[in-house]
Amino acid sequence: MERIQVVVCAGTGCTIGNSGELIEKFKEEIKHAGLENEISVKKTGCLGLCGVGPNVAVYPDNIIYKTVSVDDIKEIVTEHFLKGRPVQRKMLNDVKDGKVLDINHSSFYAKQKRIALNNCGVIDPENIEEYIAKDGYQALAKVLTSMSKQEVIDEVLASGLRGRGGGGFPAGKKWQFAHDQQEKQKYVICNADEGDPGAFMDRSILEGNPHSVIEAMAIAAYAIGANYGYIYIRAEYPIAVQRLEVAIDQAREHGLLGDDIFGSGFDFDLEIRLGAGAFVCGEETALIRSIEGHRGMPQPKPPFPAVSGVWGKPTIINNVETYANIAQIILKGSAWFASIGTPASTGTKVFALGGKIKNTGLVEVPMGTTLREVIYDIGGGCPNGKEFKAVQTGGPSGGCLTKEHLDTPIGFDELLSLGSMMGSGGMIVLDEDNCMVDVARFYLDFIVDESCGKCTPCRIGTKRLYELLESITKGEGTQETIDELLNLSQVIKDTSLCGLGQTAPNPVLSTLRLFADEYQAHIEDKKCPAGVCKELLSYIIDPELCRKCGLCAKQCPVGAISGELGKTAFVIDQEKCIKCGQCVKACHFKAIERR
Amino acid sequence: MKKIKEEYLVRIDEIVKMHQDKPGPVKLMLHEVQKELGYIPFEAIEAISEATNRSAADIYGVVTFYSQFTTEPKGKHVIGVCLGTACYVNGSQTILELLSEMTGCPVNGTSSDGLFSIDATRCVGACGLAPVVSVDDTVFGCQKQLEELKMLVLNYIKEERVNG
Amino acid sequence: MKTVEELNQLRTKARNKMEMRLDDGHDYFVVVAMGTAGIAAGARNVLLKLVEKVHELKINALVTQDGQIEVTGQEPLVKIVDSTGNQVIYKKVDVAMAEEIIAKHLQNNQVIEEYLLQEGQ
Repeated sequence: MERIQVVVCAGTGCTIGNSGELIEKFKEEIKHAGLENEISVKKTGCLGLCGVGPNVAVYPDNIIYKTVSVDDIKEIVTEHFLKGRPVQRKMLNDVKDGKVLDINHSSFYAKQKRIALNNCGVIDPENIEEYIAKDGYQALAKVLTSMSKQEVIDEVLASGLRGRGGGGFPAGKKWQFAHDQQEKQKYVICNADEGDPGAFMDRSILEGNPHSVIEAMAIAAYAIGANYGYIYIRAEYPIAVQRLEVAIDQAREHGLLGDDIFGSGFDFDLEIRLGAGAFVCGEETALIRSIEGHRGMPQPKPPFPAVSGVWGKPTIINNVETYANIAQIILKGSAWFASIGTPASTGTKVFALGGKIKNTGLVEVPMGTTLREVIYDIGGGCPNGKEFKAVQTGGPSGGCLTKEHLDTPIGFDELLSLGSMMGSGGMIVLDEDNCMVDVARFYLDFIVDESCGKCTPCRIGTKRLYELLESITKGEGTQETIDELLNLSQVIKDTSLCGLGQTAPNPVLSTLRLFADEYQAHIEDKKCPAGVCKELLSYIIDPELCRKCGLCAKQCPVGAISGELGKTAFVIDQEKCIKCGQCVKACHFKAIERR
Repeated sequence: MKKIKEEYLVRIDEIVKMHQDKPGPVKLMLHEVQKELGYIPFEAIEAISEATNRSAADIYGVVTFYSQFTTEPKGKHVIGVCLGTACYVNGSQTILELLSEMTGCPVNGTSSDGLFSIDATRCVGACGLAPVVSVDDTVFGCQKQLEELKMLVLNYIKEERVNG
Repeated sequence: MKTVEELNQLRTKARNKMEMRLDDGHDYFVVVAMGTAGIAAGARNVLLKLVEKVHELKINALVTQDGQIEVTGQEPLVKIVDSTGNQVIYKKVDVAMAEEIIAKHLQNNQVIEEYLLQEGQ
């Protein structure tokens, strides 16, 4: 009879940290201690604190071990499992008065509410029975045996669920449009292309709870009158693809995909289609073209996919996280879902917290939670004593928010009104050492590469935006450059064919508005205050402080430093200097300054 | 054009036959060819064009649109440096330049001796480990593993270029 | 499976295998003190018996273990905490007593006074 169940995170991040080896070692040590009938070890999905993985959760103790290596396991098995003494130095749990506190009350988890992620970190994603144990496929059963299509759509509408991929369009409305089409053949698609750099919410849901998406797609298909679906998933997610394949096979074996599900007469099946490295294929019409075997280029809307989508048939396309909420909405009711979050943004949102933040990882909070709570209470703030500068939400389509916005409650409309957007959930924290002009340039570089090239404003416009930004980072910008940036940004926003182009100028506009002084410093003073834009940096040796030891010259990779040992102060030749900063690191006397 | 191996031609035919009756077969075929052969030979483009009744130019257009499809074989060791936002703000651009220098391999290209390919990749979704670099199937979270990564690359260089 | 009934059966069977990962509330927490002193006094057998019986009799209790901090000389010790937070500690528990504790305390909510750890022990 098992009394302890150990689950080891097997998401991409933790797998890179060798969680597979950990599972084997646990099993070995447990057997060695004679505990194999009492303790089992399985894989699980993302526990959230990715920055300190690989993570291992122990039930029923509700203890999570962090950064577990093969060498820690013997101790964990002997001290914790055998003798009942958890290994405190490896624990994420807090300890008070000698008592180990419940992990759910830790500062990382206390403000979270895991709905989309509810099974991640609990079940083994490769075992459909564990999903079923946690009410899996009950929602599909309820829908097929006791609800009409319209009733399903009404529930989703009443829940207020808005698209979690970035658009924020009410899911129920989309389903209604498709339902109302008279066509016989319809399709449901899951957009798992998650292209925003810094976003890994969808990946984690697919790796940790794949059945939630399959079940939701079946429900959606029933509601609109479709019988087939596609999961379009980016090829950069091999583990997620594999988990989905296993889940689909198991669902078919159990009759949950295929003909006459639950004897209701409803047939549904689906297949996986892979992306091939094109960010623009996250846009729904481009995604459809990609499935159809063409270049993934967006199409004008209307017609919208709900009317004419894949193979010209009515199609709904929803994001992974949107689907992950559906089963619980059906089971617990729309009123339950609508009671969480805010009236205009109901439910929760999963965020991938990254950049300059102590607790990098995945968090899920009710809408209405403030940015401050996410970044400081849950995220732990900026590490190394650095000053918070901005948080970028919405990826390359979004904008920055600064200190003054930290008390903004998170919601679709709130973030839009501040010049950013929710986006898919990537949240990148920036500190005093990040240059905002460089960040805008970085996003434009990405966009230029990913622009499909179909429409002129995006194809040529974004390239010009990039060049303008680059000139500023090189100290060649003028006031006219800024005016051009503003002007061009507006034109691109107004005239681009699809969302990629229409939102490409957002990082530029947002940083120009909030960090005008930083742009000015680059233009007027030819300086980069954050010390990032290389062309604008100079390293200078203070002759008063220089001890003439020559250590810096030794380190210099381009021989730009000269002087006489013990006799004359060393000097950096600014023409040769590549601004690598090695000399500063080498100097014991703080004689070199970066300006 | 270099002569293609006979067994590649056989595989290409098999792959085309396997998928040609499915809806939207072109990408399915391209994925399979890329996976098995490591690149998409012109012969594959011709075979797919023939089987799907679309011009070779059209198929070539699809191949060149997607960054994961390549028409050039990759190097023996493929290095991927993630330039996603979280990695970028944690210094992955510097690591990319360093690796390009160390290996003599251009970014998004293959070294002239075919030993290395370096890809500046899109976000691979392991942002908790930023900056992330992969060498073949091994992934390094360079916050802590930068030295390990450098050692591995140096070892390959030693083995193949200095000794081999 | 072809019916909802089958789904429900599978659900029950699967839940049985992963009780400790489900977030149902528990009527009782049963904590067996382990540590060197506890184990030496035979706490492991007590722990295993409690786990077995709670599962067999479908009692809504969570059985877990704890590392002993102080040695009292009264091991094995078993703490029972109810859903309101009230707790009692039984001393020198052996396998037979464990069964009695289950029958009287867990199934009938009757504390067994004479088995309790006294103040100062």
